Amino acid sequence: MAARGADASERSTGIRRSSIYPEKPKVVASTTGPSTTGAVQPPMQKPGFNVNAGLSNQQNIRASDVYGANNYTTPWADAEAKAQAIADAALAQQSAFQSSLKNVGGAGGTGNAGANWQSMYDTAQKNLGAGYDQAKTLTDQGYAALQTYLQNNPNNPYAGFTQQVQPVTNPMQQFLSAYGTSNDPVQAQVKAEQFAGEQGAGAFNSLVDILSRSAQGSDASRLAEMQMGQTMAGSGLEAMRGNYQSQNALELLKKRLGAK
Amino acid sequence: MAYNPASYEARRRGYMNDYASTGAMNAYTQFLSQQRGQRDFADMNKAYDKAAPQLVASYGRRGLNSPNVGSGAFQQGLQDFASERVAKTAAARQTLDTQNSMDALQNKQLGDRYQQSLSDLEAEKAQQIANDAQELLKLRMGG
Repeated sequence: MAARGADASERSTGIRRSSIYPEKPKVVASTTGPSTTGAVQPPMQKPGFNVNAGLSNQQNIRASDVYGANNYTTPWADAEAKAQAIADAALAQQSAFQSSLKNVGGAGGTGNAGANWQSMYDTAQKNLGAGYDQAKTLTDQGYAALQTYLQNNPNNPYAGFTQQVQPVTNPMQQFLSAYGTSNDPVQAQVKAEQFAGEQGAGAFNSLVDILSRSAQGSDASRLAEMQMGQTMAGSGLEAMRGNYQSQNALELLKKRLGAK
Repeated sequence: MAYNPASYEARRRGYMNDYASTGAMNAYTQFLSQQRGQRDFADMNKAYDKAAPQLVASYGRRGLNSPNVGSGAFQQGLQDFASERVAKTAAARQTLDTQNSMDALQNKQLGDRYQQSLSDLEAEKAQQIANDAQELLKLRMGG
């Protein structure tokens, strides 16, 4: 074994590293790009349709040679043209959209945009005011119509409704007198029947009176319900207006803070 | 649901038709009932009118009543007869009157229900208009 530091040539001819680890083939960086030699590229082919199948390089036929020579157009040419037109239109729209976005962003993001936000806020407030007025008018009209109806149609069908008592008479008064018979016992019966009739009619009239009072109470309750409904509807609209006003003001504040 | 006058009109017509048809049916049955009651009442009076001379005759056949003799039994019999007639006809009259009053009450209650339904309908309309007004305001503010 050669001494340490000796020349490599003096080393023993043992097993070389390269014989154990053969060198990997070196990769040489190269650039590729479109051919500038003017070589004819094979024409694009539709899948499953190879016009050059089985031909040599010199015999390659381009589709355009075939269709052009015979004044044919490729079957997919129209579709490709349409696709291109759609893509162009989409790109144009995208550009326009991006351009408009830039404008919007610029308006909100620049210092002089405050006037625009204020204008939008004023418009929103004006719109809110108009919307509230319209809603309030509609609500008031609805309840005014209801009030008119209820006042013109008071619902007390029992008003003035009573059972009249028919007077009880003695139809045989003259008959009894003709035979010299006193009518006194019969008159007592007449009075008793009259009293019974009055009692029956009184009970019926009490029932009607209760029904009448109930109807009047129901009518009054309905009017109060209508007024409460109108108040609630107005309050609801007020609350909505206040809420929207707050939202608008908050949005304006956010925009102004964001603008700074 | 947005305010739809047509649906309210349809319901109003429904209430009106129900009120009219039920009222007409009630009026007819009430007329028949009253007619029957009146006829019974008239028949009762006729029967008493017819029975009175027969009663007098029956006392006469027993010698309890003549132009010269007016017994206490005869007078008592006549008074009882007259009292019974008063009681029976008064009761029949009261029954008839009560029936008429109940029929009228039924008509009043039918009218009451009709009016209540119409008032409810008008109240619903006002409520719906108020709700729609709120929705319109929401819509105007972007939902």
